[in-house]
Amino acid sequence: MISPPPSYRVPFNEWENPVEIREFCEEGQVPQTDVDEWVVQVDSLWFPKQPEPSLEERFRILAQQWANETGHLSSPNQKMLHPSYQAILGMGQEHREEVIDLLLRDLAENRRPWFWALSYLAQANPITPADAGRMDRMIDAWVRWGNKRKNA
Amino acid sequence: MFYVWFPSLRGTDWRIKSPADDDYQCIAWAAIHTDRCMWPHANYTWFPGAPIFPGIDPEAATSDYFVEGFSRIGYKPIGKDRRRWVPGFQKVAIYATEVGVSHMARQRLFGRGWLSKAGDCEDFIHRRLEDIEGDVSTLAAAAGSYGIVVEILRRGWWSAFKYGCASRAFKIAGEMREYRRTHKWDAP
Repeated sequence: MISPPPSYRVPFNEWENPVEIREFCEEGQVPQTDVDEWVVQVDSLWFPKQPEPSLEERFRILAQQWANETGHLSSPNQKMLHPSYQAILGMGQEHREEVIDLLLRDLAENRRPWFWALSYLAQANPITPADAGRMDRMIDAWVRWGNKRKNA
Repeated sequence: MFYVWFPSLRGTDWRIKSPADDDYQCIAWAAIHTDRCMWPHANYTWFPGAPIFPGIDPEAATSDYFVEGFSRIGYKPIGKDRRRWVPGFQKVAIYATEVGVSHMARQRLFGRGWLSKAGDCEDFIHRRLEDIEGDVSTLAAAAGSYGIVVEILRRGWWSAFKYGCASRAFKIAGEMREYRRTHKWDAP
């Protein structure tokens, strides 16, 4: 439980209402710095700060959204246009290595076709003409590439 | 999800035909393949000898690539309005938006509707081509619209036998019937 400043300690329920606080403050009984401190404390109590989602959490949410909303599409251009895909590419600009790892893991676990994003971020394309168009072989090719990259 | 993707399907006579499968998509399904994904790009299977996009980045996929590719299995373009079934011919339709080709559908053998494969999801039968049409704008394309039919291609039944498509179609139909008989799957 958060406490008010010690010199003006009042029961919590008495300064719960901001109108009362304002009235109390307007009487000039409380220095402005203390009022500011109260406001900060009340704000933090009423609007607790949410912890920032990690890169992986953000990726998972975006990837799920992308899969749900583009699952019926065949066109790679259209799939790449989706805002979630663009957001993941944007994350990749800042955290390239981590996003490549997340993409590879998701490709292997959920078979989501991240081939274009991987080619773009990794500047590589391990898919040979013999593997092209065959989902299992394309996934295997990228997973092998990822393992080589880890071992290098 | 089908009504979210294709609002015009609501109230029409349509049905799911097979479980979801990411081994093939609509273009491969139009060419009667269920073991590959097809697109005129180096990362996909395409018709031998037909042109593909240069480079690694996907570009706006104009219908010319698809007309040229499907000509390798006997199809010829006939405009976008001749949608009715004609005995002795098989048709495929190309859908596109402002960002290029989005989808292909294949007419059923005796004209009772069209067969479509929804990306990685199920394939389904819809009565008319219009039932899955949508807005063509770039914004709508990003939101998943198939756009409108821009070209219809046609070939004779003889071509279907000549290129081995007919035998493949019967084989796949048999496999799917068997799958539906032996597996319980939840049609969405």
